[in-house]
Amino acid sequence: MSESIFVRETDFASAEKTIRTILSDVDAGKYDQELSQSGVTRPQGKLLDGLDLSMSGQGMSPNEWFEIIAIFGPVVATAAKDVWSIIVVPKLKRAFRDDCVSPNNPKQNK
Amino acid sequence: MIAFLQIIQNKTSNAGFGMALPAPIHMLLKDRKAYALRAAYFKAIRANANAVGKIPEEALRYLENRINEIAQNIAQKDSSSQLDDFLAEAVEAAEKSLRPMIELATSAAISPIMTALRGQISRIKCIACYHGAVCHGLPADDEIVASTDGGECINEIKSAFRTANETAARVYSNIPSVRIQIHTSGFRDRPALIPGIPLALNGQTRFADTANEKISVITIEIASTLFDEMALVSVPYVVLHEVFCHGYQMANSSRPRRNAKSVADPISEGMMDVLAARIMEQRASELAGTDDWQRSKEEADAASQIHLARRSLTMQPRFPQASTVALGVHAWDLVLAVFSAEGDSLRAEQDARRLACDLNLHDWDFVMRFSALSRFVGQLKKPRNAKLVTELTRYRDTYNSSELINYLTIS
Repeated sequence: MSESIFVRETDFASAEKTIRTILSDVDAGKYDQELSQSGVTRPQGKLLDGLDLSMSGQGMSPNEWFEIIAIFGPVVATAAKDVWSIIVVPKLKRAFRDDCVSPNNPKQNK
Repeated sequence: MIAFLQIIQNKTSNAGFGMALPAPIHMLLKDRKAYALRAAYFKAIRANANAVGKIPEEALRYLENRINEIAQNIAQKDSSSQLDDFLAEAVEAAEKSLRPMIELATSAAISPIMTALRGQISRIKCIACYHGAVCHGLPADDEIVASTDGGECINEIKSAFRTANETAARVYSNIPSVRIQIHTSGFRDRPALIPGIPLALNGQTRFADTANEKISVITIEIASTLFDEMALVSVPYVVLHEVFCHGYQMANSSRPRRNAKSVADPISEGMMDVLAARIMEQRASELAGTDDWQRSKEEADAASQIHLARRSLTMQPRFPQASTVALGVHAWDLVLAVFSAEGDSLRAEQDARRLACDLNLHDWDFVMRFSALSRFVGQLKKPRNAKLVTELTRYRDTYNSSELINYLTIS
């Protein structure tokens, strides 16, 4: 189970640290109310267990927007999607500014 | 919307280890139309450099503007025409709008360009692409574009991919098994950040290894409406960089390869990239005296230009990974100097190439690669570390890199 997010005007290490902090807070029950308001129950397992965060790729040149891919451990796989959209994305937008975080690459043609 | 959903679904299922790899994903049909038109135009221009000099600048600019407008319009909103019909209509429309603007003499001067352009687009026959299946802007298009015989609309990329794979098989001495997949992605803006070169082209590689197989997914990113002559001549190098420098990176690892985090790899980005640029130069020099020399020389020049911009520590703004690229280039220069000191420059180059490939294949992770190459450079600066020089000599005698790698890992 994986989720991804595009960010800009920051570096991978800062974004990774922020995502891990947010997920750690979710694991600690800090966002239980926000989750339950959306009809979601916090997973029994820890979101940080088995979590792998990496860049989407390397190559000729970095993009202005870089993609971070989060691969979750099997225990939390089904709940991770809800936690990602309800908690992680809005908190990341608050941490790095709304126009610096996007679920898709804004420069990519859709 | 459907295509977008499939991209997300494929991405999601592709990202984890141990999962089946989905079919390659390619640019949307409207992007491929814009790309194919602009690529055909700039190929026609390149093939008629002498004729271009005789065309009044204003007329050529008008033609190019019309091609740009048509490409921009289609990339914004697709038409119902299939790709080959769109190209024919586009060339006809461009020529028709040009006619009242130019005199008879100019029309004659521009005629070789129009003939070459028609020749370029006539090579693309949608019905003949993949068992009679034609792209309709649906997710199923990806299979047509990805098929071995199909995807004529992105022929430059597919052809460069074949050549890059052949080059890698030739230059790596013991090439491990890696499945390398090529994808394309359409961008509205230039996807690369190469200083001084507004490149409408970029490449990215992601490892999607399973427990049993090494898989490198290469995505060539293209700003279809900005695709120009520089992008066209850079395609072979950008694709070669991805296949040769990243496709086989860490491929001797016994485990699934981890993808990059904060640390870039000086071996693949610098040491191997020097080699990629040199291979482009060598390819051009081997074609000296043939009809293909001019094209190949322009491609090698573009490769050299991009390589120099990526490694430059003085250009402003600096390439984001310039210090990493420069470290790898420095390692290449030092090893070549050590090997060349023994006199046989041809063998020195061959051995340096072999060593760079061996180091690139090794299963060091990104952090290890950076520290090992930093150590390598630090110890090869004068006065040279005698133990490292001994290990390099041993490598040249045996072509076995394990002792050298062991030394760089633990020293």
